[in-house]
Amino acid sequence: MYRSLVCKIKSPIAVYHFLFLRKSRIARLSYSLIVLNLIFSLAVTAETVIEQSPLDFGSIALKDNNGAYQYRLRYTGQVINDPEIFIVSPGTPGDYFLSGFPASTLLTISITSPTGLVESPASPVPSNEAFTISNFDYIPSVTTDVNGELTVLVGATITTSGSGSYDDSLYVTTMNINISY
Amino acid sequence: MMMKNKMIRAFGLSIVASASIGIANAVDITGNAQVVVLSTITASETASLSFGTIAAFGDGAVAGNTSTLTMPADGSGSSVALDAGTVADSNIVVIAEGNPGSFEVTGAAPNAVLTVAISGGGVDALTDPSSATDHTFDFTPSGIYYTTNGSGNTFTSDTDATGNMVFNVGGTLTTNDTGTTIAAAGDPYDDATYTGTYTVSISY
Repeated sequence: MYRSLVCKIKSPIAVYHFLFLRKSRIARLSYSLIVLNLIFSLAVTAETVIEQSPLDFGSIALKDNNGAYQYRLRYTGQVINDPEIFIVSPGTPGDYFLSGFPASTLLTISITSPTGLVESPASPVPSNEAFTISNFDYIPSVTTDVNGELTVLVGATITTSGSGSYDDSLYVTTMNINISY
Repeated sequence: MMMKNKMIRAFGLSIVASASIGIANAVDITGNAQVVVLSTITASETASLSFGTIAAFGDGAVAGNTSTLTMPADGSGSSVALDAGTVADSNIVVIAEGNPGSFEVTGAAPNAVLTVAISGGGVDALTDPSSATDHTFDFTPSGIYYTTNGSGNTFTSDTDATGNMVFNVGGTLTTNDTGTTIAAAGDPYDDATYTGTYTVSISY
């Protein structure tokens, strides 16, 4: 995050060096302003995102895997599941705390996942079956508060493979969460 | 005047630089998602199906001359019936009352419909493991009891709000009328503990 910001401001610095190579007083004044601007920009863009809890679908039991059965956990906590999927213990939406963002600023959020949920590598006998994850559920455009803080809740839908069997095990994946403003 | 223009341009560039920093900021983070699959149902036998202590006599001479001890799943107490012949041919006398088998399901999905089925038993299913020459009993697990489910070898019912469920299994025990170890009418069974197994299947 910090490194990305430095790359963006590198180009304007080079422009200023070129324009004010003669080291006039005006140039020095402008350079000072730029430095102040950069310091200011760096100071106000120390964004931090903390995963307070992952998107956890809880524990489920599968009656059958003879079809693509779905289990949807909304960011509100609401659960919608096919009858072939039993909820053994309820899940919780992903909880992400954002801070250090500009106050009262509209953020645009997008979420993708590179893979489905696969059996945890810690399992001695990995299962061939995985869950696909889709329909990420969250508020895509939301405004930070006066302190530049915000809590983002994330839900999604997981779907069974429709054939084969699932081991009793933990299945995991990662999500790419992009926040822009 | 020229110096002033340069100063204005400098400020202008400064502002542009600031603006270029302020737009299109993006933060990318990696989140995690997980689910635990727990399809296996955990159950334990909290009480073995016991027909109690009995005195038993069999009739190996006439097919069908048997007596049957029934242990209801609901715990209402056992009863003995003479299937054919007379009590001199075959008989069961209860000395100490037994009890139905009891099973407890734990950790299943709350308020989930489970299907329970029993199978196994059969002819000569209860034997004395310590002696091959002892008589045998025919044994049939029959009847599953769960609150209001009192009959049948298969039933469906809901787990409670914590995912638990308790049910009982009854059965019948019948004196043998065939085989090499039983002789004439009124042949007494040896004093021994006769055992056998049956299968309980529980599924979503």
